[in-house]
Amino acid sequence: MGENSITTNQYSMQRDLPFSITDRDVVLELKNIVKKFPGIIANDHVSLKIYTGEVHALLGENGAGKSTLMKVVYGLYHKDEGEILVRNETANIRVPQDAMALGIGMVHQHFMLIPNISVIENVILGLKSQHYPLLDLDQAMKRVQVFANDFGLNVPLNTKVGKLTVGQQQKVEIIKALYRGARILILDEPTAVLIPQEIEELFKLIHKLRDDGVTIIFISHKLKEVLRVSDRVTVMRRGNLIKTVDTPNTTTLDLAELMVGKTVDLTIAKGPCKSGEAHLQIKDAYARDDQDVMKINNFTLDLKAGEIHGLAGVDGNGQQTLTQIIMGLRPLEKGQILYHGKDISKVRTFERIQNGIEHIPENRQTEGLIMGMSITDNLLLENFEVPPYAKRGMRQFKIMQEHAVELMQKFALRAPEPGLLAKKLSGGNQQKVILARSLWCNPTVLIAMQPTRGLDVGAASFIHRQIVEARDKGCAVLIISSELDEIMALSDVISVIYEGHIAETRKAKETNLNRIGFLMAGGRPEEAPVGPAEEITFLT
Amino acid sequence: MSEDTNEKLVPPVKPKARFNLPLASIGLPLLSIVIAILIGAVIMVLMGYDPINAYSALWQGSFGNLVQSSETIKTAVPLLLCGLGIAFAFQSGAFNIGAVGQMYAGALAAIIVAGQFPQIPGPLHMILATLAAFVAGGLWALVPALLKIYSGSNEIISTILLNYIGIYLVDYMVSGPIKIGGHSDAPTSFPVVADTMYPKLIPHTALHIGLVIALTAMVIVFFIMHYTTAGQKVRIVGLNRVAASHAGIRANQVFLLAFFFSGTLAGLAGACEILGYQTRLISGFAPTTGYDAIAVALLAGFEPFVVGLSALFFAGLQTGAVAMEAIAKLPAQLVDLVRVLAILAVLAASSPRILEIARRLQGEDRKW
Amino acid sequence: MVNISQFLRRSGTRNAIIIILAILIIGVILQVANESTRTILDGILSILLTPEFVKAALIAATPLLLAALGGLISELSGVLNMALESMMLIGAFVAYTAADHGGNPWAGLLAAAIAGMLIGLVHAIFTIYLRCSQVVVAVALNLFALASTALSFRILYIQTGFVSAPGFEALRFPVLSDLPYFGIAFFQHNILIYLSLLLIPVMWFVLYKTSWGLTLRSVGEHPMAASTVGINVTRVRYIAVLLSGAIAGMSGSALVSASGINAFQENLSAGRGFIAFAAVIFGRYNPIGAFLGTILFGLGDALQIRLQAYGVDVPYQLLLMLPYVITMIALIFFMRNARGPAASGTPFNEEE
Repeated sequence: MGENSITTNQYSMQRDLPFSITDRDVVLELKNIVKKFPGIIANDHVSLKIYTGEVHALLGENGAGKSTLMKVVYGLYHKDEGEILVRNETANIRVPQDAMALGIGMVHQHFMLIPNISVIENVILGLKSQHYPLLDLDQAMKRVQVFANDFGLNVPLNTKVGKLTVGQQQKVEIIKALYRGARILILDEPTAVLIPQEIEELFKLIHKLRDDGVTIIFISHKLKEVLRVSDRVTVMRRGNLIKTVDTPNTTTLDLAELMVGKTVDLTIAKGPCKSGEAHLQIKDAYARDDQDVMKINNFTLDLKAGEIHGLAGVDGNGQQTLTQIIMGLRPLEKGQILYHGKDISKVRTFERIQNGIEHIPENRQTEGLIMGMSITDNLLLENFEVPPYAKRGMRQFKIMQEHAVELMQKFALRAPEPGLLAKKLSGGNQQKVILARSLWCNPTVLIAMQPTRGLDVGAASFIHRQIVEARDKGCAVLIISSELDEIMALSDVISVIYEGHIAETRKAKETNLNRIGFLMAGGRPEEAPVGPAEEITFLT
Repeated sequence: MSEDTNEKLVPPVKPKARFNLPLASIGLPLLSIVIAILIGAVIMVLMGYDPINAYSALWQGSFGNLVQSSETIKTAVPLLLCGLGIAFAFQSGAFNIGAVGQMYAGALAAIIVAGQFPQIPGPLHMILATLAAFVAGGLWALVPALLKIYSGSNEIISTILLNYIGIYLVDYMVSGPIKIGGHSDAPTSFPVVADTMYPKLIPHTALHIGLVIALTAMVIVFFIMHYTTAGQKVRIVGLNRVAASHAGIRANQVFLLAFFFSGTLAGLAGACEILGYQTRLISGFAPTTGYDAIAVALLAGFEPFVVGLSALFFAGLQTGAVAMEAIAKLPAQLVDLVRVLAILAVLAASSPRILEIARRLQGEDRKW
Repeated sequence: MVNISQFLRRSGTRNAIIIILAILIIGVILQVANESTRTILDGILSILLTPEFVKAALIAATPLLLAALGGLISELSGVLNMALESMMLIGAFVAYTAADHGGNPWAGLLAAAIAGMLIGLVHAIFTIYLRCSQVVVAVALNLFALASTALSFRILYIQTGFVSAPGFEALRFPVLSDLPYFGIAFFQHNILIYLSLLLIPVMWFVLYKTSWGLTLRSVGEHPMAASTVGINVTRVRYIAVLLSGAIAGMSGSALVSASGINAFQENLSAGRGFIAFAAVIFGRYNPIGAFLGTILFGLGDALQIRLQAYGVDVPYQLLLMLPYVITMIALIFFMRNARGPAASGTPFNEEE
């Protein structure tokens, strides 16, 4: 670990802080923090000490309360009980500005950047320049440029943020926090949106900041990353702080057990793959998106029966458009989609679904469910017009109800009654509704986009089991996920998508994370790293 | 390895009878009306008038006797029809502000068919004229709907623009091509052929079979919305278009049809006015009905049967206002105030913020 | 969205061709309806060339411009303001009555601004605090405005009939007003019109060169992001809507002034508030664009009046339709790519 040196004005800061930093001080202390939401205790008497200049990871599965805890520290939420001490003085943090005044900055999981305005404007948003109310961009530019150079952000500062890559946007967020004098930097799931190479860059950046005396709190649910980047790890589970350990002294298995609370089998039980004929074939497809950009570009893919086909790729390389053309939500400009050999490019979505092509959309609340309708109505969203649920246009309520109860039982959907509105369901149960709807009639093709995003371990492994079960029944499954671990663990065959076409397709056993990451970033297959497949462990 | 199974599923429950509307549907509008009446009373007192006197005069004028009641009901008919259309369109996620234009288009079609072709036998002629109005209203509504789908134009703006275009079109037609011979004060069209007029339900009153048409429409809309797959489709599209298309529903088609249907109802309202009451098309014959119907639908929470009650309320205010002015010497605009208050009360009471507060108080917020 | 929109999107020149075609078709239709010996073409040409036409266009455009600028502020903060029509109408009525009773047009202007602000306040409370649908609230306000102004007007002026209220005097500039063409066209307007035109660059400056403007825009684009840097989204939106109401209310005063007789009549605005709303959209949500949009309608409005006067014997109702038809055409062809502030129309829910 680097030296904890006293920092001089290495970075021009908005103002000088009226205190000095020495080694191993407790820079942030949380005492018995309680935060409740209706029906749930998100943080249950959490106490924690963070030292100056360390990289401290907050580890836990989705819903453990780590994000909530840090949002309380940052002033986005109000704590119900407890104390926060910053540099041994009680801090009254009610709004983000209070936190910022104390030198606390936060980079959120979903960037708080405004795409339509420039980098420099985003950085200085909300700050008063010397010539207030006039914007003084030139002054600010000089100072921000220093940061930008240090972090390798090589774009003109007046570029609109929307035009930057995700990795670049993240750097802007970090600069934004540091510009406001942050000495404690909270990063919330920063690697969720990055490709492996960008993750490397981020880790280097984090260590550089640490070496300059900035304290980093790294929130994540990914074991391996936490082990690589942090000095200490605090594990949270269901709102409780379980334990804090020194990173060099722990392993993935230890951490996993702390996270989940019982001995955990990290592998996914999966029988051998018995692949058969190709249920769905996409040949030389071209398709544009709403902005008229050619998102699917000479795309060819075969989905075989009884096979889980993983599609790895950075968000925005055509995955959404791909799902849309398979489901018939978007027309093909050129090329074909063959289902059991027949061209279905002109077939309506409804017909495709009725004939066994199902999908789990990326965004369950906006694309998969009608939040204001009941579980029953959602379960029958694709079939409510079809007998026996409707006869000559008239809905058959009793049969609908029975169907819902049956599905709820089969898919372990715990809810008081099928008439409950979907918006009252947890994320896991919501996803189960979609899953139940897609799987109950044994589809021939299943497209699963980000199937376990935002779900806890229990729900995620249920979904995985169901997917494997479907595959064993002969379904051709396409998994599109940004969790590479999930793809590596579940898939029989893995393809990498880049700029709308397939960079490579290989059996899962014959490829590895490095190679996939390289291809995801646009590298050429000939130059991609080879090597043995790694031991695949997966936990959320 | 399975998840904790502490909670058993509740055994299958008998499906709820669908006849009883949830209490909130009627309760909310009623509550708003009561609030509005009360606030109106307070204002009357402040202005030095006697609210009891005023409201009883209002009642006299709207429902006091057979003649007045039938007058009120006759006024309620077009409000009900347009309101139904607006409510239906709203369920599909569309704001149909174009009832004025659609009604005018319907009226124009009705007069053109009913005012000519005397050789067609009576009943058939009447039906044809009504049908023409039906279709004309639907087509007038189709234009903004098509524009929305094929070019993304905001349907609110285009329906309003078409309202003005419709008003001017009628004005032009009635001053020119379909003008009645001789002089008249306001531009008027030729009259309808006698036997196309809607028969009266009660002789010597204003009440005509338009009421039957309206009530039938009300029942049909209710039925479609709650019992048919078509209604379900409309509601799904209205709640979440994207999810609807992902599930295979052709959201555009549903939207178009809902808008069209909504226009046909407004067109029917036009037919009722022409064939049932006015028997000729006068320029500016129903300047605000289409807009008032929006308020009617709003107050009713877009629920078909409640729209009927709401239409009756608005019509009662309108016919009663004249009496209130005559008897209690109150300026008639107070009635408009009551109307507006009722709308604002409904908006406030059904607003997300108030609903959230209500939910919090009930402690009903857990997730499953 | 299918073929037509794709087709249009891909070619700017095709758009231009279509617009020209549309204008020609309208011209032909009007000519066919024309029963006099003077052709439409003559009419249009001779009208377009006169400086009085440009003058009239500016006068007609000013109320729209003010309303559009007011609407712009609200839109940029993320609050859809479709109640412009109500603000304009009520503003007009109040301006007229206040000017009449107060004896000078500035009283009318001030009163109109205040009235507009009050309407804005109601709008803000319902949409920001209660989080009602912004469209529904706007519709309710518009209904209210129509009814209340019509009745109040009848009540107040039923005996006297309407009288002209004191209006803004036309200004005279030493040399400029006497220039041959431009003098009449540009330099003989009243002060309200000049102030309105001045508002354009002022607004542009504030929006893009001050931190208030940046704050406003950020609230409309991504309220959550703005709130995490300490901006009070609710307060910004309230202020934006109030300001928007004030300016839109003043547009009512301009409307009264534009009537030529400085008088009010029932439904004086006749949908112009909606045209202004549309202009904000095709103007791509910036002050210059809003200006261009409203000028277009000002031209159409002025053209239509003058064509009637010229002696072209087209039924006047068809001519009256002209501004609305033009707006519809603009809607079809220009609305497709207009990207508004990302958070427009959605209520902002502070967490918890």
